[in-house]
Amino acid sequence: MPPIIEVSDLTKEFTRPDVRPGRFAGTRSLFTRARKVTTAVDGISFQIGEGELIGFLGPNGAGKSTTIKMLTGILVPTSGTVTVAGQVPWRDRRRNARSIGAVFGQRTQLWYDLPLRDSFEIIRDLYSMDPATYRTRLGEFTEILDLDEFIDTPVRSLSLGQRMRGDLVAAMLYAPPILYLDEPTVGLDVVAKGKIREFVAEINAGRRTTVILTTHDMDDVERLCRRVVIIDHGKILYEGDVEMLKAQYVTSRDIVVHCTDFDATTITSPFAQVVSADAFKATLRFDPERTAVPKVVHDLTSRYPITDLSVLEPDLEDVIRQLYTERTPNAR
Amino acid sequence: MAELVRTWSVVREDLRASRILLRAGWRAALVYRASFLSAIVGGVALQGTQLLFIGVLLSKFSVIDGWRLNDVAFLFAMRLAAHAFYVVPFGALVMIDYSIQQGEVDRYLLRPAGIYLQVVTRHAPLMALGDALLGFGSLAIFAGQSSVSWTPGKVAFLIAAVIGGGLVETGMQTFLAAFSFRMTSTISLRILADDTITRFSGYPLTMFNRWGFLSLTFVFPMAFIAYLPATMLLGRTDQLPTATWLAAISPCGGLIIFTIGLTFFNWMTRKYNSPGS
Repeated sequence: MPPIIEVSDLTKEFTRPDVRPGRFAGTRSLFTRARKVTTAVDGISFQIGEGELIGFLGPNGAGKSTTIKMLTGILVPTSGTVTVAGQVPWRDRRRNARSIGAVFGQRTQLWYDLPLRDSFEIIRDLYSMDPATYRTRLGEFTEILDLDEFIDTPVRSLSLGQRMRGDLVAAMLYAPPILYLDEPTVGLDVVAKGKIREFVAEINAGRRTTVILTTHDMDDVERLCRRVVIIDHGKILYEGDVEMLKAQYVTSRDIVVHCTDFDATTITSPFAQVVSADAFKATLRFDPERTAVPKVVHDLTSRYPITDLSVLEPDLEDVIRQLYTERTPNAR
Repeated sequence: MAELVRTWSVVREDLRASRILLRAGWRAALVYRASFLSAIVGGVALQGTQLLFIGVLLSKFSVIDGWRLNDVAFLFAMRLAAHAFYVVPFGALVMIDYSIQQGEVDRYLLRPAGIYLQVVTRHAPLMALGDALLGFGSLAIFAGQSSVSWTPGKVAFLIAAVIGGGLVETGMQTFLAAFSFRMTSTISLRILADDTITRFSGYPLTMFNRWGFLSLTFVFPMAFIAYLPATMLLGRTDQLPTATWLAAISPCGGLIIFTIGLTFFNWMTRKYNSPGS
């Protein structure tokens, strides 16, 4: 997969007056010459291949949105280089605008007082789309995202989920090869989230659109992304496959055992450690590197009259939490 | 040559985009009918108070710095018409602070159109229609009553002067608005500029002393809005403490000041720090 986005040593610093708290802090801020430099993104490098769907993760204030804003051309980097489809986003801003679509969960790109359809028509005209392509594409998107019932409603009257669906269509109407999604499912109900995930999966698989997704919703990541870039304090903590990440960080697995004919608190195993138990349910933890799952299962089922048993898959959210907590010192 | 072709293609693209975005702005404005009408009435009332003020002033002093009532009224009408030429196409510039604070500029940067263009087409400045009605109406009335002997050449000069005057005000406001990318809010500065222009640019500026006049010509160049071209039309260039040719080419001042303002604005967009999300 040839890279469509190349980021090298990218840094963004923000400077503001350094005002010490205390008396007349507000007045002193007018005259102080001292400056405080905050490094939001600290020399990160990565590549994204054409047609990839990549998760860009990190806690609040990690530098995700700042990075996305540099990739889209909204912010000018302090140092380092970015090329997106062969262009420097902030320098070739207009050309870059034609190769990217962007949805920022918190802010709409639509015309607030006009019906959704009018916003789409303005975008059609701005991007010089031919009417036939516009009609076909809008028809397809309307079907996937169920826009029919609110396409003629003014944007200001739409629910968050409806507006977000409208924003997605607006970002993809002119078929840009790259789509940035900054928390597109934040605050949405399960139905709206499902529709958006279906749409994103379709444009990535069916149209080979490269998608860069920032989200705090690990369900989004598990369902959509194969690869993730995790950043914190402006540095990359991890870059790679989601499954590899789980394997690397999940050193134990949990088995949950249910029973009705005996007290689950009496359960023990030479291969696993009981982490919690009550009369009807016990959770045991084991190291899958040392003991294979079937061995633990066989041991338990052969010794106890168990009514139900399940092996929990590693939870990405726990992995990410662990990663943030450790905040690896050798982050790059 | 290649650079020229590229610039021309950008200008053409922006003209097309401005048509699309203006149409959208007006369509959005017409959604609120009551607001549409009240804004127009408000615009006429606001500017009308200025006309009333000059009426009162002239009833007390029939001559200001040697200018008779009808000629001062003509000068004032030129300033109103030039102001209309600023507020009708560029009036939405007043919202620059809000656009920056709310992160609307993010959206502008993501579209294949000029940022300035998107700022000034953000909404239809309805009150400006009142300004236009009053400005062009009063110019039509007072031009006929002034002591100018009209010829086709003078009419052309007047049109150029009004457009140039509008561009002077636009250029000055654009220059100040550009600081918003760094300072986040420049509304006080822009109100101060607007207030100064409103208070003084419709009067013979030589009523100030020589240094006052020179600073209003070269530092805060509001003499180019109406006064300098009016002296040319009224044959009063002998009053000027500057060379006559400056009055003769004064309509070009707008183009120069607007170009400086716009260049500075575009340069300052690189200083934009999008608000956090």
